[in-house]
Amino acid sequence: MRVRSILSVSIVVFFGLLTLAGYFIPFKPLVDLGGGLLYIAVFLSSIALLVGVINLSRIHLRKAARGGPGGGYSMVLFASLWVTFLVVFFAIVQRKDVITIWIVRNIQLPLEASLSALVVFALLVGGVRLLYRRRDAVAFFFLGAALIVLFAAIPLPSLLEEWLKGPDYYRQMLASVFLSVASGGGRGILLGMALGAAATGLRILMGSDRPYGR
Amino acid sequence: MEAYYPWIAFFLALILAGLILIFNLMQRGRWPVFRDLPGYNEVSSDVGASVEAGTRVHVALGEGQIIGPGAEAELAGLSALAKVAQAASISDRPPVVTSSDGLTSLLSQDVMYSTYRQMRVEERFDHDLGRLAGLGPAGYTAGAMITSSTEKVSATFVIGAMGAEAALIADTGAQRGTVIAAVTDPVGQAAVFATTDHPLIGEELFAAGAYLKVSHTHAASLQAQDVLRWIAIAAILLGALGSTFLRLF
Repeated sequence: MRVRSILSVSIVVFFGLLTLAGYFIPFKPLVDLGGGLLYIAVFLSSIALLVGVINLSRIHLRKAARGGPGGGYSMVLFASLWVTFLVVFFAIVQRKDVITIWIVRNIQLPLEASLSALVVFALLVGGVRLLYRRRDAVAFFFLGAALIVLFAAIPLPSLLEEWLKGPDYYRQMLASVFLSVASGGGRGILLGMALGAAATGLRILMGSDRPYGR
Repeated sequence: MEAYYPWIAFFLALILAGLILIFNLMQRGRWPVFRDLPGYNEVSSDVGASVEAGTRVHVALGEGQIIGPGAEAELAGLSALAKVAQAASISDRPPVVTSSDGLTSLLSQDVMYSTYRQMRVEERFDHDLGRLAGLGPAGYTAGAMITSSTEKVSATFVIGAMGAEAALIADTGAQRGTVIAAVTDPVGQAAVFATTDHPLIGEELFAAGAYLKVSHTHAASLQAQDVLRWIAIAAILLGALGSTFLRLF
């Protein structure tokens, strides 16, 4: 078992460093090798996706067969998944994109739009609950910023808009303060995340972090 | 200047790797003290409560892909999963892990199996517990929401690449127990800040391994990140001062 572990770490570190070298060193064979390795990885990833989909349908088929709560939904998922797969497969074979476009436009997009609408409600309820759960300065700042953004998105009556329009100097100053604070905070978060992402990748390349079995 | 970007990135990576090694050697078995993050403090108690209640922990790894966008968040989530699976290994109901990527779901199964094998309870492991919940942001969100409601879940850890849809998973999880969330997308971060008790913002997602005590290398890498962050802050301040000075004189 230990030999297997050493072998898997060696493979990850060797091919990881080889692919990374392709990014840094502008040497054509190395760049091509890195591209080729990525191509293989993408191919394996699509096989893994197929395995995942088969596993998902197996789970839902079992749930539907058991007939417990939500079993009906599992049956709908199983049937719609494979019917869509077959229909799209034959559409591709016969080079008829019309069916695929119809499925995306009339089934997938409306479903995704409904889910997006639900997100709005979840955020609204979450925002209201926030005042009950956490009554600290950060929560009030967060809600204040959210309200400012929301109010800014509302089209104002022309009279009110005229009244709000001050001299350009003040407006520019306010905009610059808000933009500086917002973009500064955003960049700070991004900087930290970039460092975190780099460290995560380096741990894998150093062989100390192994999310592929130990 | 752009021609030098790969070399700048290369040297930064070398410095970061060097710092990780140095901090790792300096620790000598002791665990460094980090600032308090309530989100990670709650993980062990939430897992313990779910074990006692005979319920499951749901680890939602998000919509990222190992080969593609969000890979770094998925890897951070998998590190955290190892520790959650270890803590929940005494439970009759092992954690359920959802993802939106085939490779991530296979890796989550592998991480859980390895952890269970180390704890000598591999008979409790079930491959179906590391599952692909759905494809794409909407499909994944719907699948993860259903998982929370059908798998007797009492604690939800959302850790990975996710947008505003994280609010829906967090909301479903909150109806059944506690939720701890750390996501990469800025909109998703705002969403989980509003909807969860213990949101983790920005780079706190990548601190999971260090706070959950996965390994000393995780702690060392967090210390290395802190050092580089201070260097970046100093460089930004010096750059701003230098630029102002050059404009004035």
